[in-house]
Amino acid sequence: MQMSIHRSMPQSVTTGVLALLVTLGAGHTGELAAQQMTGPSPDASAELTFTRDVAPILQANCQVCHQPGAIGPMSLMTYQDARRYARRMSRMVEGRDMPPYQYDTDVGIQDLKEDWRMSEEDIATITAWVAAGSPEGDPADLPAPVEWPDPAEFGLAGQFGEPDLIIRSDPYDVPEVGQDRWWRPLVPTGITDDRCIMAIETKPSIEGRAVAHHANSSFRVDGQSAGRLSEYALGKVGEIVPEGACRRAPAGSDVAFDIHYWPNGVDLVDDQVEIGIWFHPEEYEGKYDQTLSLYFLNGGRGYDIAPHGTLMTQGFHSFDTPVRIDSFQPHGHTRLVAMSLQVLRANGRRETVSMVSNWSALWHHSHIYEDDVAPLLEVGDQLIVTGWYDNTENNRYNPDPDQWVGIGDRTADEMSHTWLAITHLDEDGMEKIKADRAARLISEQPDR
Amino acid sequence: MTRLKTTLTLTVVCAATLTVGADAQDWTQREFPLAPSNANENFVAPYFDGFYPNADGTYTLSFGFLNRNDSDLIEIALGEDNFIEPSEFDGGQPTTFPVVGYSGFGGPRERGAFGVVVPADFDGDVWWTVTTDGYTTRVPGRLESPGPIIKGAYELSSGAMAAGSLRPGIRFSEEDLAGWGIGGVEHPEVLTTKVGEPVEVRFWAEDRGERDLGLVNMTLWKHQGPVGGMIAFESMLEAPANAAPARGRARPFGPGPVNTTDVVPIPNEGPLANRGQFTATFDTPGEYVIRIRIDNFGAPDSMPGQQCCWSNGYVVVSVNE
Repeated sequence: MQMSIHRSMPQSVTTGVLALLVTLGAGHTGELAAQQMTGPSPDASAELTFTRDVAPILQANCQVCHQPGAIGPMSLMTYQDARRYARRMSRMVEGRDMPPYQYDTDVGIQDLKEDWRMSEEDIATITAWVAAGSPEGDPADLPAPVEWPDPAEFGLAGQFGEPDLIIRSDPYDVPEVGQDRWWRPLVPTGITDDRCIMAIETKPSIEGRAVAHHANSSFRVDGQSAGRLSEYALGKVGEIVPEGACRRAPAGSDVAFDIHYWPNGVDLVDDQVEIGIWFHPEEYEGKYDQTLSLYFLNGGRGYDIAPHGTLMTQGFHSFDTPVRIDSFQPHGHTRLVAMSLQVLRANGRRETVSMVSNWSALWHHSHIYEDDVAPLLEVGDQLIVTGWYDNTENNRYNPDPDQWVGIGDRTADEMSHTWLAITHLDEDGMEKIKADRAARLISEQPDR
Repeated sequence: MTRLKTTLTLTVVCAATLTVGADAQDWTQREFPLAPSNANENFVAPYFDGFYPNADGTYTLSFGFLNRNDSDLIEIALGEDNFIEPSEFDGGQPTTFPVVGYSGFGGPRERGAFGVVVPADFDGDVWWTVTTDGYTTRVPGRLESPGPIIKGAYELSSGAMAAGSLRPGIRFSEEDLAGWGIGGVEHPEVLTTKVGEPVEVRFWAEDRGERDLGLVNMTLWKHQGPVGGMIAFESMLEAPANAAPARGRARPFGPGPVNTTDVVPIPNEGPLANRGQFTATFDTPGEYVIRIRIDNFGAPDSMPGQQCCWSNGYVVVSVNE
């Protein structure tokens, strides 16, 4: 019997900077949560074996990328593979460099959808196994091999099935070398009635994943802007709209792509980026609109980073209606190293919602809050977004610490903003969410 | 005892000197990270934009700047406060640094103000050093990034952008072939005039690209000249019939005064198609260089933040009393 894992991170053959940087990859799935695959207590490290304890963790967290032909630079499919890279593996998981999901474990909201972080127990199992000399164990203990999905499949397909609509950008030839390029085709959606979107995934081609730096998309109706559809940046999987909210896909719309290609040693002919959309049923009426927008820090413009210097930028945002923050996605280039999201309440209390201390432009995760913990902002509350930049040689992704660095579209320049998906509520909606959460909290209390 | 005291005193003096020197060069000591930009008393940051491979095997290193003030123009004469090393590459950099602001992710940075051509086998750095009020900063132009991972981050391209945009062409006589690029095209003559007497500059400029061609825009800059010397630019162009508002700081179409960073569209239809024309009047004698920047920023794949697409034309003017 084979175990089937629904992949939630990209699996591809790639070259260039991405392949160079991804030392170990990982994948997490809703169906195969880390808790289910947790190995034995590290106290029992003397008994830890690859076949029984480590292989299931690798299946759940690593092999989607670390298999022949996938994005990871080495395979972790067999005992021989794992033993060869055991010390590096131990170091990477202990430092939380892998799986590549840079979200602090001890600050702010911890309940996230599509969370790739490995559990402390799994990390302890791997490090203890390596410390114990990486024993193989009984081959009979090996779990059934995983039936891996097609690498070209949408990452969210495991959760939602095939997309209801796939929109493909017009083909573009990406040269092997040269400067960044921005490809902006306009493509009809064929949508005949307004629909509410349940989930979105923007997916470069397998070969194009190494060079598709960004791919943003917006709706146009009769040539006029009609809201943003989605945003993609290197490493991102997708966006999930919470139940009850509606990210609206208008009838008669076109999608305006804004694809940023970064030639990176791969000569691509007729490359296309695909956007997969999963709709709610036609009768679904999300009461409140959800929008995805970029929120600037420090005006988003007038900053510069000195050679061998560091910088902090900060942005403040408030809303005219109550809102729920559904997801948080830092955005920057090679000098951004950390970003936080805080809420300053009207009463002066400051709450840290999210913190990403080890951010990397290689993995633009949209950190999607679980429905019951997504932060709520009243009118008068304020968002504080803070970004930190490191233009020194200590930043391993920094191409050149001798340079001044300022704002710009190019990879060598910087950006300072965050993408936030926000449900725009009213007072009644806010009160209902609070009441629902309180009721669930009470229902989850143990009987007395 | 006396000797020890002297040693201690010298140590303290040296430490104090080193501290002062370090502070003068430490940008974090000069301003707070989240403080708003100053109206003045801030400094110019030189920028290396990247390098272009040229058809003959050489490379053009592109440099720009960021005037970190909110409003004040800064001028720094060529010399000990504004120089390029190795010295063979010195002399083409601007002495005038206006405050600019571009839409999108263009920001307050001027890109590609000048270029330095290095040979095909160049294997070093070209450093541009700028000192503003005693504060010195410098950047290297180089062909390979030293970071451990990304080596080609600053590689640029003269080829067609995604929608087919290329750098516009510029020439100073009807017979000449158009030139383009950051390194630009130089007017073949040194123009001469007197203080208060306008000098007229004519040129040809046209869109290029692998797409439907459109309008190009003219922006006029005091690139070099005596510190404090002002140039009053007057456009002599009529409003193009097919002009749409350009991105950035577009000025009202038609003849009239042109301030630095104003964008003036050049007609591409009719008897004066692709002809640029303006006057420059100087209030101070000296040697000036005017930079004519021609861009096609109206195209969807052409914006300053994307490092595309403009070309420079340089005009040297000698102004007498």
